[in-house]
Amino acid sequence: MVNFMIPKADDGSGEEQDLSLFGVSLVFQRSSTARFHPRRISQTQLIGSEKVAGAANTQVEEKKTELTEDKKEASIDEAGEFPSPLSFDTSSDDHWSTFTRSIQVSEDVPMFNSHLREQPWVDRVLQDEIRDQDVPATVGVALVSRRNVVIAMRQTLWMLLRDFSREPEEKGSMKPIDKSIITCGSLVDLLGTFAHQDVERSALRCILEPYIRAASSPWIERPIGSQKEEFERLAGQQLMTCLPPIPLALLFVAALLEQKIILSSTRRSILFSATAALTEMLKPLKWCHLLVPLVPAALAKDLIQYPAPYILGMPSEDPGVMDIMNDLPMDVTLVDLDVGRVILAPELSYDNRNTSGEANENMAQTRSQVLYLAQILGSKFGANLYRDAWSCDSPSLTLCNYSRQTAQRQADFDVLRAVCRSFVEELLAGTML
Amino acid sequence: MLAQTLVTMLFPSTFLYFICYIGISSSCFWIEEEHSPDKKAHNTDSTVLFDEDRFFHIKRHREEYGFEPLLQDADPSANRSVALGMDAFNLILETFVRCQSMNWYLSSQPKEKMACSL
Repeated sequence: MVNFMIPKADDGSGEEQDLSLFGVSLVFQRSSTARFHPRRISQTQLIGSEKVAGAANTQVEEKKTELTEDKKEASIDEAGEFPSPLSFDTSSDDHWSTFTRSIQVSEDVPMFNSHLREQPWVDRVLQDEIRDQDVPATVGVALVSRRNVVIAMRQTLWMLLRDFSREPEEKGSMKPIDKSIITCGSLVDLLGTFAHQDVERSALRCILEPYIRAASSPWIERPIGSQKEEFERLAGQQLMTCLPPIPLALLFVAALLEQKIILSSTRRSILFSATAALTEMLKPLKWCHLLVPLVPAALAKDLIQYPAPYILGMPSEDPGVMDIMNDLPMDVTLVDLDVGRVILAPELSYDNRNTSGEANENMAQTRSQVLYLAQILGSKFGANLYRDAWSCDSPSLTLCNYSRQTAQRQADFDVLRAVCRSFVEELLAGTML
Repeated sequence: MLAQTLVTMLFPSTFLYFICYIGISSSCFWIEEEHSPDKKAHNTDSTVLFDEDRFFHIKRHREEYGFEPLLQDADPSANRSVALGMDAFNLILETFVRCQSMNWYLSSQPKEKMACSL
């Protein structure tokens, strides 16, 4: 699930308005190297079902999904549960239990239902009816909005996925579940049905409506900008987690001086978060140049040659991106959000008016000033954000006055320690009895 | 320098020049030019003038007086204003004032925040 933003050029009216398009996508992809196999799919479906039928020693097979008409208000209760539009009809014989999912929708969609009863999308993919051998089988859904309502959109898609993963006896819930028990087969089939050109346009809206209503309900009575503010806070926190204070300060100074900046990560959502947080850090100044949080692989090579300042987000897993990273122009600053480092451009970008010989001579000196400033400013960041670590030599810092934040970080360290412990134990497994 | 000349022209009296220009802490000047005495018609041109030399002069003053220099060996967590010294960061400041964001910021501010001349 990826958060993204599609930038739109200023219309020249000079009005202060956000013309970008914000979105969240939920994409299921199977690489071409991992071929689908009917048996494997059958097993995947059975994993979640054994729990249902375990006592009766029968097998359960999930068979059908269909849409039925209904109008029901969806909202989340205090326990984090909501009235799911999904209901299950179970029938069984001696060996098999079959359950059918029914989704209550606000209007009748006969064409969609008829395609849904046909051969499932997964089976059609297996038979290579609708895909090229070299292209990974991909199906997904994206929500977009003119406003930054990423939090509600993400919640909507999570609830959709969560609901389609649940067992018949479970209630619709927003609570997180173990990743390992998310099953996406039925949702993939449902979304794959939209590959038919003649399905009703309203079908997707009908399916998503209850989830959108439930996910938006906590925000309905709050000011319209509160979701954006919440997202910006979250984005800032994510950026602070990705970069230590001094690299963070270096990125900040590079952005202040309008350098060409490339953000790179394997996590696509963090690219959008980092750009959002960075532009927020620059206020009351404004980033006036090109800003593309998620650059498509096909455009990456051309965009890095753009002659003006830019901030580009590049998913490092995209094909060809690593080659581009290894051969960046000299005036590009690279930010690796996975490693947590910022590599300042060997040659800083200058305004065209300032490309005299003297300016070129000063370039190296400016670069050292930038690095020096980043170090000082980074220490300020560190001392304010992580006082216990960055002011640990200060005599005023005693074990008694550690901040409340420290308690949380100590709890985080316990989690880190547990992960490391299990890894080391795995490493040592087999050495002793 | 251009701004100084302009201000001198706008305030012919040396005394007025002194109290109006020397004492202000802004390096931006809002200059509004009226083409016709007819006040009903919208016929004024506004210009924002940024005096770069004065900006650097103010930076030097901020470092020398009253503000905590960024490089001072003080408690880094102290929540006080910091000054960017011209000696250590002159090139950064020179680059910064030529940035598009600075240009946008200066032109987006209301005239009440600048030295204003009608």
